[in-house]
Amino acid sequence: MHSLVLDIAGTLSAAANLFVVAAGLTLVFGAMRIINMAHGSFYMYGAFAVTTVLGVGAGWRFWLALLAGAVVAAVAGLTVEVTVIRRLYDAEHLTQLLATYAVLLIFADIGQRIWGTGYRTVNPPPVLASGISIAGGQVPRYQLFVIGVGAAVGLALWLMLARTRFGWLLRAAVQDPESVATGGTNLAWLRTGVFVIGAFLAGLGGALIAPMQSIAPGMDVSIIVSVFIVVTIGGLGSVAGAALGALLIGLAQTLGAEFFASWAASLIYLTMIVVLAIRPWGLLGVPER
Amino acid sequence: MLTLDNVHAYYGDAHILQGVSLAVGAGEVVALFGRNGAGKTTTMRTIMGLNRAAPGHITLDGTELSRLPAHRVARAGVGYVPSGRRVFAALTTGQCLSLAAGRQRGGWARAWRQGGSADGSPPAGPGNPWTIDRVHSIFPKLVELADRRAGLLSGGEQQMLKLGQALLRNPRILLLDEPSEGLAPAVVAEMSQWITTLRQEGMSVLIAEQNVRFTMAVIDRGYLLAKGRIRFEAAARDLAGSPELHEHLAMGTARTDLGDRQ
Repeated sequence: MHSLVLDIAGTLSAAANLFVVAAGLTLVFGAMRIINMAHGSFYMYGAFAVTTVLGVGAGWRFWLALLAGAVVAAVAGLTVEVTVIRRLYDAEHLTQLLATYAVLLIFADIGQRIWGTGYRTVNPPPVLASGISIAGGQVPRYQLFVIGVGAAVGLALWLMLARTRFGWLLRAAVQDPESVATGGTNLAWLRTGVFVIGAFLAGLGGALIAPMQSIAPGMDVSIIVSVFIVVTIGGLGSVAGAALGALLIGLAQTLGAEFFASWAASLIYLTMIVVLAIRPWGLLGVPER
Repeated sequence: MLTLDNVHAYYGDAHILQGVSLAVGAGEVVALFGRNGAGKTTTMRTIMGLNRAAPGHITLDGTELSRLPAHRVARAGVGYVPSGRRVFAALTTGQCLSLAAGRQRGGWARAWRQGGSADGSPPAGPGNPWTIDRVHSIFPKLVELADRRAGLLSGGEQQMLKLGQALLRNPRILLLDEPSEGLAPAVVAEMSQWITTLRQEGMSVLIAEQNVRFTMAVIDRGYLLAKGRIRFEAAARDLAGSPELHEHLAMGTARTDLGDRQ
């Protein structure tokens, strides 16, 4: 039973990381009805930006690298929204999907020119490098940190949507964008703001994962598959649903790795199929009208 | 103050507005009568920049509005109260009012604000500035409804809320699209009280309506719109006995009787 506490910490930290990325995707979909494949690129850029900042040399801190990862992604998001997404609001979902997939491919190419085709690794900051003894298991401190960040992001998003004027405006715009515009709000900039927040979260997720796995080209596509499953299970557009979906997928990953190693990936898809068979609009989603 | 000059508008291939010209003077309350499908709502939406006026000119105190997007038209001082139950259903009444009031203040609202008036002050309108307290003093009921979700309000309460939101943006002119639609007679009577109050404050108002009985008591002038063209224009006292108006709005009076039964 030594591994139970480790399994729990592993599941929760994987879920927290997935949640941070998925929350950005679901926020953008909820507010703008845009399915953004390039979300995976923002995640990958966040991770690679961490390796760049940490590679600059001594004196640089991990925390700065974390922030840099998120900011690099946010700037990439701003660029993409203003140049591409803004023209696609009235387009078909398929057109949006293809266009954002094209953006993902372009970002992948640019990424290889900047960071090369090999994989990179970084270490967690010294203060989080060791384990902490909980119930007989040595839980990596970094995992606890990731869980904390996931919880903080969830709380911050909830506060934003429930308590701030920006959040109210966002919820109003989801329901009736035209009335928001005739109330004097520039919808274009509101949407840009949401998209940048979404990209920031993707970058933060990528930066967070950097010390936990190797960073390589291709992680953009693999994360987008995972977070799409997460937000589909949870219900597209629902932040709480993204949290629930992330927990389920985190659990499926851990259980799969533990008990059915050769079937681990299948377990994730199986989870999705079962959930969608029962609730086609996701656990906390609402049926599309 | 608000002038439409030979305004045309299309939905796809359908030529909805075929050269509408009208004017609302400062402090004037003007009605735009017409049946369903006459183009009343399209006229309102075109003024707001939700439809393009092509061709045609729409000006507010000389400022050309006809090429501006909706949020710029709103900031230029046009307050729009759409017809029906168009409130932000998921927000509370208090949040809706606070959102509308947020425009006048600094804070993040200013960050989203592009343009607006040059010195950042609310546009000068009669009786400005409107505050939440002042809206509450006209609509005391909104105080007790502050924590109720806007989607759960009655039709009349939603009209109060929509009017309150529009006023908080300190408009120079208000556009009311079918304010009496779907309201019980007692609430329609209240609605004319509110419009009368605004008129006394010196607010300019353009009302699109079918309900002649309700509207006649509050307006200075009226236009009759039929098939996308202005049929005629007359002062309120001349309109009241106009057989042409009543003939055109036969449907409208029938609908009022329907409303009486609710």
